[in-house]
Amino acid sequence: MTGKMVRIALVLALAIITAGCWDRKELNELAITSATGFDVQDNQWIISYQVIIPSSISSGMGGAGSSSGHSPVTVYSTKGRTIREAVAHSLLESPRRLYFAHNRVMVVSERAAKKGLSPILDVYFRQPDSRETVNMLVTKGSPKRILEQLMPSSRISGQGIQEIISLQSENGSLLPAVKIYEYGSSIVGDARSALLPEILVSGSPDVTTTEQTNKTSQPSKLRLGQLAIMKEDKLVGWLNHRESLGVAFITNKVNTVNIAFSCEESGDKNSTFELLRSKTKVEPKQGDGGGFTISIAVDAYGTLEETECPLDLHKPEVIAGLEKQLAKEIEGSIRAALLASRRHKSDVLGFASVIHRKFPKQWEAVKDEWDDLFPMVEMETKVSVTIERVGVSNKSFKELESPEGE
Amino acid sequence: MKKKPTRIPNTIQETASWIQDQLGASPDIILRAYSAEGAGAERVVLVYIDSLVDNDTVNSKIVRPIQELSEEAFERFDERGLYALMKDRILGVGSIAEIDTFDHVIQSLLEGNTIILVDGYQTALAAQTAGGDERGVEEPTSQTVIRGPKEGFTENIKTNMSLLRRRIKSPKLRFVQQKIGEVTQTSVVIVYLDGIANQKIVKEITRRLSTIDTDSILESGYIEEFIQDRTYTPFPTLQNSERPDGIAAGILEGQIAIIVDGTPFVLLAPVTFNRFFQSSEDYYQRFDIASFLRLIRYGSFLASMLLPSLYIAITTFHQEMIPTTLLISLAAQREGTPFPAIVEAFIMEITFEVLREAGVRMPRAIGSAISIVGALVLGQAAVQAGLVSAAMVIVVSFTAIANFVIPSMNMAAASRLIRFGLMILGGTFGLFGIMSGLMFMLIHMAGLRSFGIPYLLPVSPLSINNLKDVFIRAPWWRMSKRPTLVSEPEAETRQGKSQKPEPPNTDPAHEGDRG
Repeated sequence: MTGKMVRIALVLALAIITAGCWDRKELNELAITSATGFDVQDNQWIISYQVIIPSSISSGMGGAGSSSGHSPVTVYSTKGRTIREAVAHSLLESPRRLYFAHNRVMVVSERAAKKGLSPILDVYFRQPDSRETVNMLVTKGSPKRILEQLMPSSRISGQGIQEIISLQSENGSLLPAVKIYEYGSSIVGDARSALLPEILVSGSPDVTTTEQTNKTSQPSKLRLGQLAIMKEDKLVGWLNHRESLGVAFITNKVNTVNIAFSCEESGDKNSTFELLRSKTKVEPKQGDGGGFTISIAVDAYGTLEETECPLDLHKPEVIAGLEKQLAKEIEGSIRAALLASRRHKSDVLGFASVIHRKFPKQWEAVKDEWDDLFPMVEMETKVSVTIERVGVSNKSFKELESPEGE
Repeated sequence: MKKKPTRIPNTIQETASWIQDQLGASPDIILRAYSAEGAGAERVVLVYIDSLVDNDTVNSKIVRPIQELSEEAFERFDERGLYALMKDRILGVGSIAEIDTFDHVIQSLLEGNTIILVDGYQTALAAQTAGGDERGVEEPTSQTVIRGPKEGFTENIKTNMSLLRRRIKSPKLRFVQQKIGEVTQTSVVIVYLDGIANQKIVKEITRRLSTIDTDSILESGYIEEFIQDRTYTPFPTLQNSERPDGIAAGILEGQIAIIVDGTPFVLLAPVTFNRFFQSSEDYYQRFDIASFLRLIRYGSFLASMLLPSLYIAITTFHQEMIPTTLLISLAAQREGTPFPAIVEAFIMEITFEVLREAGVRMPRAIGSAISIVGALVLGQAAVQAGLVSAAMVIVVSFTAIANFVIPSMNMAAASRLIRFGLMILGGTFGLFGIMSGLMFMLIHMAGLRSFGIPYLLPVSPLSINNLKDVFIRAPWWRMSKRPTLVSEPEAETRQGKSQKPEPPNTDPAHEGDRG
């Protein structure tokens, strides 16, 4: 009995010694990456890493050195013929192993985007420690430059960029937050197109030291720009904000957005509507000649946030007038989105999958020439806007100012 | 040396000398001889051990009546008559035994009885006069409650039996005594309710107790190790308690208590895993807070077993599971520490175990010194010196505190031991190792039996009726059944059904208000 127990204990101990610990890594052996940049130059990948320096961020006890004055992150780049080769080259210069599980954003240069992003996706889907939920962004300049820029409000700028883009897509709807798996699934979808938001450094000189972030105003800052159109994994063009809002309406991805509009038929935009809920129905129809028509019905609800017009908001017909103006505004951006995607011959509106779902047989016939067919697809739009509330004041301040007012 | 007699010798001189021979010349052995006035022949001898008897009883109920015996009584009666007089008239003690072997005389003396020998008569009288100084009934120190009885068992088996008798005034309450221990002759009493305790288990316990062949039993722990179902397991298969109310509750549910003379810790068998998480206070407080506290206890058991190993596994194998901000601050703390996480955890755990043991062993007066040294030197200074990270101190201290939540000390000890095994597994295989360790533990627990009762009983095999007192405590009127298997099958019903209290339908104050 005891002999058997001793033998079992020995085998277990042996198992622990021989089979254990092989993938053990202590926290202080890791270079925690908060953002990565991908660039291409002369057929070589240049990968940049924004690595967190924990001791300069956390003010807790036990760490060597205190927080202030030290840069919270360090940025460096490596080169290689393939992505993983470049990453492996980081071991030539860094004392710590790169750790990508906490990577938040990935910035791709326009050059790399034009060449194609499939190698990056392959690496991300293959490697267990890199997450598919990383936000993808494109920059027209150098990705390393984006990673070097410091933010005063968020010490780790990679995290900060991620917060900006998700806040924007939740509350602004102008630019969508695109994660790697979302990009991957839309690029292999029927339309073979995807959208990526742009990030840029506006202003100069760059803010790259913590002394600079101590000032109340920075000469340059990170901000989101336009929306890049990726067709068959390659960058083909850009959408402006009005066009990208249109895309959001067509693809039913609008969350909350503020829309400026004019309260009269023509004139300056002097009122703001806060759209709170919106639902889009996309319905394809096939005409007699075989061409497709897509009908788009948008139902939007929200609050009037601001108006300069002297209107009596108690009257339903006044509200109806405003709703009509708003519908016109939204229709305009939808139309602009259609024109832009026609211009780039890229189906970022997702019409392909809508048609595929409704007319599976017909789709089989047209899918090979879809690129040529897409610009000829007609679109009917019907936008209905409901102003549910006008806020706590039902007259504009301008009306109160005027002598007839009370 | 002459051979020791088996029967009581004929003359009291011989008997007295034999007794002194057997017990040695201890100063506490009192031999008192009485003879008729003038005549030298000693007719009656009293023998008792001073340190074991209640002197008041001996003096007033035995010594004085004999002394007041008239002269002619001594002369008138022969030995037979004198013996009968002693037995029936003189001795003012309730419990008197007649013994006729010499071994019994010695035995009876050592139990604190007073032996009365009559010259020429070969039977002796043993009057029960056991007493002497002992601790009174005090509040139990190991299991304290806020609400509930404050009585605790004592070292005296008679007191302990009376504490149980007073709680269960049923004619069916049975005490079965036996002596265990060749040298110590310790009284061990099995207590159960006839008709409620499972008869098979009573028999099994009696059988296991009677097979014990040892020289001494000084505490119920001895008994526990001799009769438990499995020795090589960290989990206890017998419960112990200092609280009479807890033991009485167990007996009422069909469990069998084993009282051992000389210790306030009474054993309770058979037990299931969930019993170690029940405190007697659970039943005195309202059921909602009792249920909440019970869930907290199960959680604390898991925490006290798993927390250090989870911390090691996650920080050295699965960093992706930690929220980024926490990871950064953990990484910053680890920046200056010299040892791998598992070594660090072992240092802190061992340190705590040393502190804890010191706290138990050292004299009370030095207690505060230890806590200052422990808290300040080991907690703060070790972190500031960069020996261990602050997070590790938090983990280890929470683990330690969680361990104290478990009401039963032997289950707490089990989680303490398992913790170290899981730490090694977590440090070598990560969460995978911890999960395999837990699987192994669960399989082992499912195979455990306590006197034939499956250890995980109400959960596996599942008995839905009995789940009312496992993870939560249902209100009293809902628990109408006793635990299955533990109690006799026909005695499972404990109380009447549908006793949910409700106010009467009509409100007497506003009678007639309602249409």
